[in-house]
Amino acid sequence: MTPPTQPESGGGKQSRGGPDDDLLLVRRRRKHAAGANEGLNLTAMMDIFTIILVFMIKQYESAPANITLSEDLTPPKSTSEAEMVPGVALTISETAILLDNKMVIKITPGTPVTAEQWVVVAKKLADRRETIIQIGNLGGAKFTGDVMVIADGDVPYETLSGALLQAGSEKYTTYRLILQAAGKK
Amino acid sequence: MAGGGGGTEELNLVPYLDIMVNLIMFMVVVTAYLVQLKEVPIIAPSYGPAGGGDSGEQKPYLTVAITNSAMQVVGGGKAKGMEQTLQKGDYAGLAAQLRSLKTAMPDMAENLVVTADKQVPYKEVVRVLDAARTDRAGSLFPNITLSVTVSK
Repeated sequence: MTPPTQPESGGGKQSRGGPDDDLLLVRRRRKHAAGANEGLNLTAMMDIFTIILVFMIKQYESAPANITLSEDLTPPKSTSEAEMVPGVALTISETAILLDNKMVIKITPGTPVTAEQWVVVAKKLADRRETIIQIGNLGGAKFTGDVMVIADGDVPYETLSGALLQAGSEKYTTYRLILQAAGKK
Repeated sequence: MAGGGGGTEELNLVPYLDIMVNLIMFMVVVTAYLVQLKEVPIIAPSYGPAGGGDSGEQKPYLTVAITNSAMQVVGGGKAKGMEQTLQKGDYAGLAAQLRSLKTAMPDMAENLVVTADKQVPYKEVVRVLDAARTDRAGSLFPNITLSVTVSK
């Protein structure tokens, strides 16, 4: 996309009657040339920014799970180098349990999760499984039984194992602990 | 716009460029707060005695039990009776212990059972998993089973 050629200012035919007119014409041409260089050609820059933006959006959306660190949710660091495989995200923070980023139950730090709360978690896991199965029947992604466990480092083992047990009881068969890569923030 | 002059006017890209720059800055900032994530596949936890049997003919296997004050390596199957205690936080010692046991028993199961006390933080469990999975010599116990029983 090159900028269109600007019409000669003043319009009309130039008279070429003498040396003064030639000098005027040269001055006009110089002025016109200088004016063309004043404006930066933004089209190329626009192209670059568009490509960068599309690249970043695609990179962002291709990640199986993106989490933002907070005080309540800081997964431990691990030396594991296994890349994540997408699945149902079971998030256990210090204050809540979430399923695919939707709140399931609130928990109080230092207090064990009650049996009634685990029933709620199991029901939500079952509902999610049924939804995925229905989507699979309509031609979408099939239910694989994969569950990604994203847990805060300070969560007691009792809560973690309880959540895994509920997932197992609802036919989720593959567990993946999602951890921060060591050395990365 | 009337007449032929309007057709040659170029689209003003400056506002679009402003939007693009802002979007890219937003994406860069958001990406900086995201963390690089990895995964550790595990085998389902199970309630009940770890290892599923005390037969002396069973393949030897190991269980690492994490308590609030120590780590215990307990043998099962043909390795039954073997028990060693390490200080809490001695992950290098744990890896060395597991390596020596695996070397001493070549038919040792690749599967390691890890269990912990109720109140042990998840991050302690992950450190044990890291120590038990690999060491400098290579793969140690790549398959981890989480169990919820500390003592029988």
